[in-house]
Amino acid sequence: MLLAWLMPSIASAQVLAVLSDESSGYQAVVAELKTGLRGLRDGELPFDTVTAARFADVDAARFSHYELVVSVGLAAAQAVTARGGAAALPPTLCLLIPRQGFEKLALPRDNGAERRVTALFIDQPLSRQLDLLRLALPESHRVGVILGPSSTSLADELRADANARSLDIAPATVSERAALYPALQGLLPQSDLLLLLPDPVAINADTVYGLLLASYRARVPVAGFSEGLLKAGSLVALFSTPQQQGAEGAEIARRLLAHDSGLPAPQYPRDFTVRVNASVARSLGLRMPTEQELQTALGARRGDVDAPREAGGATHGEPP
Amino acid sequence: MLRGTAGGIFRALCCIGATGNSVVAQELSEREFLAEFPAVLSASRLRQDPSETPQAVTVIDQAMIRASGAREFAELFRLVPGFTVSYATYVKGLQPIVSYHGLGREFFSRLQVLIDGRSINNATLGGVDWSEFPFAPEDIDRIEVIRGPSNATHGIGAFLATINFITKYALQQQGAEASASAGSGGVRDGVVRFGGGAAGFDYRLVAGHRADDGFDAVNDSRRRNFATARADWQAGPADSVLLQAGATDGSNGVGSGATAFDPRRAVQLTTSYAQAKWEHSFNPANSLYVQAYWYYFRLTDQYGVTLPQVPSAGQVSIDAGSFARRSDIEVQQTFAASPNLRWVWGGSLREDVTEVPSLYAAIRPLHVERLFGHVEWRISDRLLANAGAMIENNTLSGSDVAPQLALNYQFTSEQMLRFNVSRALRTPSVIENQGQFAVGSPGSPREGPAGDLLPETILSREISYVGQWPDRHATLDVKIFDDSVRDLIDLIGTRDNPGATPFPKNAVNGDSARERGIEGQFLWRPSAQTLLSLSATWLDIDSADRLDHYSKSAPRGTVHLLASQRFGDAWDASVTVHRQGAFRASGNSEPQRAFSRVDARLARQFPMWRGEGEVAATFENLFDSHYTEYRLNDVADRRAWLTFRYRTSP
Repeated sequence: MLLAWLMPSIASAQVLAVLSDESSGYQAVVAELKTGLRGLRDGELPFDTVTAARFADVDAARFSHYELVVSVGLAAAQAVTARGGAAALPPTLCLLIPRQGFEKLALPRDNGAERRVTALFIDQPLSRQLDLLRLALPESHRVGVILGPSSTSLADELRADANARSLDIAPATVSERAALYPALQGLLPQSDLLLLLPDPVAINADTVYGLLLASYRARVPVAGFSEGLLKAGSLVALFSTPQQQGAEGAEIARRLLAHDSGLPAPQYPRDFTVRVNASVARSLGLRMPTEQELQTALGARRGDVDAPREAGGATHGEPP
Repeated sequence: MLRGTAGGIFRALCCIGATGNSVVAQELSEREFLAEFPAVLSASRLRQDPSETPQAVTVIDQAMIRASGAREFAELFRLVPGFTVSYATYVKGLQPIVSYHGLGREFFSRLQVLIDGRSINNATLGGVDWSEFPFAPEDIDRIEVIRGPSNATHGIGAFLATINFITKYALQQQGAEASASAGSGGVRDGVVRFGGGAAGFDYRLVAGHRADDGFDAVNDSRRRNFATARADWQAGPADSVLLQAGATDGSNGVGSGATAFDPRRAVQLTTSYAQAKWEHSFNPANSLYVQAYWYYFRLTDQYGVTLPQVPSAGQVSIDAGSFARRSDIEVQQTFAASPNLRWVWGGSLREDVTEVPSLYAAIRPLHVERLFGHVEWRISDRLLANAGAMIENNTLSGSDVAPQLALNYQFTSEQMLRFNVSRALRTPSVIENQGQFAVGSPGSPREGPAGDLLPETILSREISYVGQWPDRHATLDVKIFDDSVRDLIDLIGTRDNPGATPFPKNAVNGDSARERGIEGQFLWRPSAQTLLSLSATWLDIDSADRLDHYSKSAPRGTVHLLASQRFGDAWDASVTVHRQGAFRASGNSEPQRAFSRVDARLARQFPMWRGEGEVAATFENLFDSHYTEYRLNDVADRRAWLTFRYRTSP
């Protein structure tokens, strides 16, 4: 199926989607993206798709022809941005990419001119995650956080955001899997709930089992950042689905392609999902607002649509 | 060196089980957000909120275990409403008797006692092997006490109540730990523990010794060595395996020396077990486990008797020992058909093989088959229905059904009323059913062939109130009950008929009892440093008392209070107050006076070489109240011990 997409459309190439690989999550993003762009240019918008592995096959002349390149996933963003100088890079929108991964990309310098690369992050702003905790468990003030090598840089920002919400953050930094459980032993007794932040060393298939079990046995509810964590046993999870990323990416793409605006600044997603694991809540004896109530409450406090969407203020919002 | 080798083996085992996830990407990418994980808190692992259980439940957690200072597992149940604890000192030596709503004696436990799902009710002599736990109180994560019959959920023998010890996952105790206690009454305990693991595979090894001299004036000292190994293996995203094995070995002092038939001696007790449990999650709402375990028990009690009447006959050797081997396999599936409908069903097979030489007869193995199922239906936000049943068939008393129905009505978000009606069975133990037996309507025992004994039955009616005030960290649970127990099995002529043959005795379905009363517990944890638990019971037992003093087998009133406080980061202080009315346990007992008892514990933690140390002083019966236990000779006195503990830092 993907091979058919790969057949390049002729001269009028407009949008190129580069996927990290063929797995269903990336394809879901592309499907939503296409749906969102339907109707643009009288329904005749050419849309090419290629995987990161086959991206080298797209020749330079052709590549520079695209009006918009959408990368889906970190590997795709790396492949696209690694290619050539700023001049050769068409406007690029990175979807399904963690903020940290985006900030590490080798981006072409903006010479004061228009932005060439932007992103819709897959991660949720810390402020939103903390707001969720306050709404879901208003009694819980002591928030334990497991930090790993990737997430440890968030510690200061996390503390500042928590202070503003009168939450106490108790961080534990884990540099290897073996250190996780001892860290939890210290952390759980002094935490009302545990906040997980994405980190491949601290939170992965090997550690999640022990982490959720230990927290549950200590009767400390866990807030996660993915649907996978929710199903595994987190109490709540806040995340953007691939479909939401695709649909929101399509909005940005539409504005660009309609020549309404240039690329916006990299930003956190506006569309997100809150899920509550009802059986875990019941077992912990917690009475919680519904998913809908939480989602609405979190959405309502975002206020104006555009301004607060800028990621993390000036320091993080602009590509380096 | 040993540690290195063991680690290598475990790591090698892990590699066999690796699922392809073992290569961990170091760079944060969207994969972290899209990853699927094993269903860790599957439906069968989640325990019910106390306001949603079909029966009254008391949970004793590690904080309460520590605060109580208990070194005797049975002592923990003094904190639970409706429970009494006493100690018998003959037959096997010092033996705790834990009972709920009376009817407790040295044999025939009417409670189901489980450790991680293994029944440790003794298959030969009855009772529970309370002294044969192959671990220490610190290895327990929590104890769930189901106060009421629950055959449908807790299986064979879950008659008056069920006690479920849940030990810690291997993961919960990593690193090395050692502790030693010494004090009055010959208390000499020591435990070493090591936990380790690699990705997905964690293990714990525990070995220890415990000893005490029992009661002052009684030959009932105890010495035990014990060891347990446990491994938790996350075999894949949907599969986990628990492996456990353990053993105990030691001796109990027994015999008063008052008669030639009961010389002062030491009996040897040896137990061992192995358990394997595999759990598979089809999805978070549907999981299955298969469990098998074996349990061996041997009591060695051989001695010679010279009959004073016929000294010329020389020594007659007597073998009062016994042996039991239990094999049990169980399957259980839990699944949520919809968010409002949850099913649990399963089945088990059990074989009890027993030998009791003094009965001069081969005992046929007892086979028990069981099918059970229950459904939890959330009719509305306020109304939860639980219905279940167990069908049991066994080679002693045939087939029977134990149904259960409960309705939980949440009338405010914090308060709940529960209505429960249940029927439960207690299958006779092998020894109860052995030899010539008398069966018949109550009051008219007659001789009958083996196998005619009926199971005991209980019809229990309960109305409970549970109030939970999360913002005040308080829970109140009050239960009013009216239970009818029928076909109580007892031994004929044990007490008021001195002319009866001493052994073997004949058992009979001889009595019934009606138990009515009210009990409650209040738990308050205003902060992480403070714990207060108060429980109280008022109980009336009505029985014709044909074969035993059932109507006096529980105190009318009991009150227990536990208060614990942590000061700063280093000091723990706790105090327990027990007030118990007069009663007389069933069996060969003597009346126990009402008594008050105060226990106290003071501990200090401090950093120590690469870890943490703790020194604790524990006082049991601080004011030296000389109350008696099962018999008048079993006089309680003050006991105190010091414990030193060291644990390596994480």
